[in-house]
Amino acid sequence: MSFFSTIIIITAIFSLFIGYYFYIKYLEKIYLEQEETKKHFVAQSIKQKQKEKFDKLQKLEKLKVLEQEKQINLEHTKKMKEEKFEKSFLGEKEPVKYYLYNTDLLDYSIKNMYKEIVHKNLWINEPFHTKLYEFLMLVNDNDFMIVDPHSKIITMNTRDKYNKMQTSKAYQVYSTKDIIKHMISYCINEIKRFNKKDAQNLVISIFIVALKLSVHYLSREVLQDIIDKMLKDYIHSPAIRNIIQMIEAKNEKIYFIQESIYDAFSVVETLPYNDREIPKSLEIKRKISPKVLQNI
Amino acid sequence: MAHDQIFTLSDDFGIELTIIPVALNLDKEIYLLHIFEEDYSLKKKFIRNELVLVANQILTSTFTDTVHFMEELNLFDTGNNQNKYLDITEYKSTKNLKLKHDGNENIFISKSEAKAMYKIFNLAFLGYSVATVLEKEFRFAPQQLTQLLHNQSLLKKLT
Repeated sequence: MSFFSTIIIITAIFSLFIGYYFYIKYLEKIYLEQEETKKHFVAQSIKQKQKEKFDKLQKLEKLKVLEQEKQINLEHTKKMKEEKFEKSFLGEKEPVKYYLYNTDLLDYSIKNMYKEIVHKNLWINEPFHTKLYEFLMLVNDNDFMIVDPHSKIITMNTRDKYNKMQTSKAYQVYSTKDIIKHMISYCINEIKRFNKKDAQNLVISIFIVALKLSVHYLSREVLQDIIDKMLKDYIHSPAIRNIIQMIEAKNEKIYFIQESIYDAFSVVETLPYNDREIPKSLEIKRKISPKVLQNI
Repeated sequence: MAHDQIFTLSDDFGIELTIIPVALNLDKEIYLLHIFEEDYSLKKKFIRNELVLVANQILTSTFTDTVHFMEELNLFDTGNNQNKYLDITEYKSTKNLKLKHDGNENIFISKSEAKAMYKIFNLAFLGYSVATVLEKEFRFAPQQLTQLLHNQSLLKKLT
């Protein structure tokens, strides 16, 4: 009995021990699982809270935008109502259109001159408007030039393709177009100080002063004729002739015109000219296209 | 009227030509105008023409004429009245050359000046290939020459 019973007792104790061990392990496992579920739950709750906050903010923003839109709409409807009200007894508002000359065919610089003189000051009174346009066309159509007073005149002995000697002269010139453009942009502010009639006469006299300096392929006489022809049928020509005399006498009041010539000579680019160039014929009075209604 | 804001001179084959004035005599304003093309790959410069500029005058515009002028300088008083560009004059028993031209001022060239100019003319060819000027000389039309002078601001009075 003794040996057998001791073995049984030992196995019983051993099995009890093993049982206890498994039981503890089982408890531990349950505890860990519980802890994990707790953690998971806490994290989820935090996320939810954040989401709720974000949604609230978005809703607020949307509300703000909606309110702004509402206000803009309200203002717009108010304006529309006012306009309708005005229209009802003032008539429809339209951009003002003026009778202006077509400048599409003119050079870029001439076009700008027209804009600066006519558009900006609204000098569309006749006969000034037409006379100015005639002068612009004259300058646009012909290659007038002013011989640079600082130019060397170089005589050139060259041989042509048949080996014959030919002599020609080379010098540098200014394009009258560029000079007039520079003079006008230099003087326009000073000119505007005079009354309208004098100011317009001054603008025309700038053209004449520049044309007087110019040559057309070295024939100086032609230009005086042209100037006389242009001024012949103009009402203000005596006044313009007076102004030119004043400029030539270096009158202090309009000395800025003389200054503008000097300034133009120092700023405007020179061009080469050789007197062997074949002269183009003069175009003095092209038929002027009629004025068209345009808005400025 | 020529508008030459961006002007480059090129020959009939589109090769760009350059101009350099070489001073032969500063007091009398006598310049040799080198016209040459440059080949950057071969690192070579080829002379295409030589002009002589005296004060306000392009005296010769072809290579043959230029060489002719230089030889008259070289001959100095051994030349004679068949000279085309230079007259032989005598002032206080010293011989001088007087430029035949239709300018207002008389230009006299002394013997030493003539010798010096001839020397510079010969030096001016160093480093250039000269054979090209004989084969394909670039002839100027007056307009082209005017443009070139303007581009080099040789048409401006130095005040």
